[in-house]
Amino acid sequence: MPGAPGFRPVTNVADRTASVLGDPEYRVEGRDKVTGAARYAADVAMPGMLHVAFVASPYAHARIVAIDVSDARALPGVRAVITGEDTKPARLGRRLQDWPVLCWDRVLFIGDRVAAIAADSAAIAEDAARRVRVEYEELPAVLDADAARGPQAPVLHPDASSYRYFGGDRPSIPHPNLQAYAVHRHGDVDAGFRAAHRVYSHTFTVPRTHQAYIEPRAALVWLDGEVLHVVTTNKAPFALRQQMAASLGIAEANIVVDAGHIGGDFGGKGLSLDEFALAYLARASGRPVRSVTRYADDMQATNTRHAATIALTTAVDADGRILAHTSRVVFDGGAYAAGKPVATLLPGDAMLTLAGYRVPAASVEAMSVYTNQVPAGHSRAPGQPQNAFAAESHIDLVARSLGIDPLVMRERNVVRPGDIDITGAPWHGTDGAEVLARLRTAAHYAEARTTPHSLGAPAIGSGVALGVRHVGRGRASMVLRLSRGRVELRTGVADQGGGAYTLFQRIVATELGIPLGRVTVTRGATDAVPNDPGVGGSRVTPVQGGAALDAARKLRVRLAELGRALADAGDLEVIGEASQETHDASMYAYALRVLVDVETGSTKVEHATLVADVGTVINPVALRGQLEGGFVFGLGQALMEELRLEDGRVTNPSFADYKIPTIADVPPLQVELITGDPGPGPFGAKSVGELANPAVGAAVANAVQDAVGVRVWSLPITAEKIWAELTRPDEVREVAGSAED
Amino acid sequence: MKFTHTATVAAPRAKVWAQVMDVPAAARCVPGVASVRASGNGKYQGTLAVQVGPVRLVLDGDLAITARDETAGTASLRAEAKDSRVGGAIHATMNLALAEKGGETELRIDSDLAVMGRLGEFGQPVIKRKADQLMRDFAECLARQASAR
Repeated sequence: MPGAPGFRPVTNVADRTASVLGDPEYRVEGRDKVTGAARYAADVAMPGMLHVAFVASPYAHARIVAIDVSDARALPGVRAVITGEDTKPARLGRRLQDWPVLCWDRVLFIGDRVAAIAADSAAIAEDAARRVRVEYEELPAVLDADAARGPQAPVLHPDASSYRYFGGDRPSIPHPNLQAYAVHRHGDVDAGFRAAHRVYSHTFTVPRTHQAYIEPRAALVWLDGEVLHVVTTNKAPFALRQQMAASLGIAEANIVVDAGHIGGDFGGKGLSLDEFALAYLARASGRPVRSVTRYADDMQATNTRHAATIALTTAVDADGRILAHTSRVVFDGGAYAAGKPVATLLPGDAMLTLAGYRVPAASVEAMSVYTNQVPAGHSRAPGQPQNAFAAESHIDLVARSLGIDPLVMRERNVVRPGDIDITGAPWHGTDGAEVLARLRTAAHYAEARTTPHSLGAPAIGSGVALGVRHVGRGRASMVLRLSRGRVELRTGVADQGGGAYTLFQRIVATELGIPLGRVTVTRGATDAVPNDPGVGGSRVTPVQGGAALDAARKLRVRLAELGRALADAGDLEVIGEASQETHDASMYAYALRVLVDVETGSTKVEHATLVADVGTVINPVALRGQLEGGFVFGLGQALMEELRLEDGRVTNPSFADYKIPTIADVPPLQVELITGDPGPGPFGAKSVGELANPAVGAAVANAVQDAVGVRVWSLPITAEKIWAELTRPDEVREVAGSAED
Repeated sequence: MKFTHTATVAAPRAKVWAQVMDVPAAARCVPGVASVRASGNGKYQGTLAVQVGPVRLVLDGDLAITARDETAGTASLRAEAKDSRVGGAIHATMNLALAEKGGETELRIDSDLAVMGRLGEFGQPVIKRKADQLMRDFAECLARQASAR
């Protein structure tokens, strides 16, 4: 492409560590996947297996007056019909169990389930579901996170105090319709505002999005004597075992959860729904029961990324240096908080409203609100795309208002080791100055800023944005067995596509100094391997990878103690463990170039440069795949993705109407890696799975403003929104983007 | 989903009003409508067969005139219909307004459509396209009838 900066290959790390790490890897499970041999949950069948259909609420908020299942039950081929009367008071959820397995009293969103049917075929089950007659009394629905916090709002969860919360006491909430509420303060905020040269306030909104994994959820459940077997698409099988045990009143020892290959997760597959009702159906029918969620139901009734409204106010000095910051983030949590695994019950990084900068004083308020909308849960880098879109748009607006170049503004404020950041703690992580210096060079920033615009051609603009992501934390363990000179690593980590098994194989082979071919990685169900925290939270490389490294080190120590070589040591077994409580974080930054058609607002991202601090590279191909995939994931949210809801119903519940990027939408992406700053993971590795997606939206918004002078305040940044701003009278436009002093 | 449709019928308002309020006759102007009959109290029962994308739906249901004001030329209708094969239902509120403009009548219909169950999976653009088409055919048919009388 003319004028595009030269492509540079992934930084070679061959010289940094032992042999194998520098070489491009082959996926250990790659052959099974490309040949179709890999089995996913929906591929698993059992003799005598029944198929399941659910009856779901057509109302956003209603009382169940009566349910008549007699016609459904009478249909030939129907083996079991259950309603909320059979499952109450069982509720499900990852941290807070607030979601009824089947509703018995009220339904709280369109898609909330009231009955389940197991039948000889999926068609019969669906037919029976249509014959269930439910009488509802419609109740006023709360569809808006602001309305839900009003004094007149109906309380959606009057029995919230009785819900099970894993791990201590649930944080207190100031309004009954809040799922979660948190505040953070550090420094002298008032003094910062008093000393300010200017104070800027801006408000941004981000819609619900779906994770858009290829594989819809599926589950197969059966009883073998007392033992409940669960085949699932859940990426955290041990956590699901704990949730099911608590919800169903079964001992964990009597539940076996088996999660194999998972066809995409992107944060959404940590929440299980069907598995719970299936346990009742398996008991009622005495047969194995399987459900495969229809994709439209997956989009209407599972857990989406939170919609959010983010209000930011920042005080700066005359040079644009941040003095103090206040923010308020309101997440629409939907009908249930069940999808959120973290103790705060907020989406992961809800409080990071100005991440990556020196923030001497801050007051941050964040909340997640119950509404009668689709429940919200976790999605790749939870909370961050919302906050990064707001923060990085905000910083750009401040820079432009002060007449400071947006990259210079960031260079003046970016966090460096030891600086106090938005968390109020000293920053442990990437030197932000290095990231921005690399970005300036790699993106040919000075040239890009002065590219002349020719008449009649689309307007050209460039935009920058940065983001941060913590390195994964948690505890994990796995077993390493040596037998006849070969080692086998047994792990409970499910394969959701990130390349975990290849990572473990390379770590073990590198540590033991043996060829990759002598290391096998096998996955076990929850009864066959030690406890594992599951995939998520950018955890696999630093935590589970750490356990694999620990196992290899222990084996090496044992061999040394025995004075034996690997080949003639006989049979040995060690357990590797890792506990990662790091506060390390990584930084990345984008420079994008967009073309905007000034007549229509149509926008195309023409080129992207990504600089990312990744530490030591273990899987070079997968690492690049995660960064590129993260960029494309972020690009979808930036330009086109929005789960549109009307009166609580998703109006675009298929990929015909819900657009995600295809390869035609993806511009050349130049990736620059910073590998010289070791992280807390194996051999100095960091995390990359959730590193690259959050900042894309703001980079696009900033580039659009650079190109045509208008600001888009919400995602996605569509041609319609740009056109509306372009055709809006100037005085109105200025009010929308005004600063307050 | 909320839609607004407008159409112009080349006939005076009083004539169009009479046409529209004769529900069984007016319903025959909607392609695919079969067997509309009055069930008393301003209510009607009927069936609408439509092809939406690749799927043929047979919607069985009731229509009720919930308000009418001939002087103002406005009326409200409520329709509830379900398809038992695909699974799903439609609840619709329609507000009709007739305005005379130089011997012609402008017909405006504001609809609020709740599409429930499987039918909701068609997605808004598909349903909107179908509603647009039905409404266009309806208006053309009314105009034909008006000029024929």
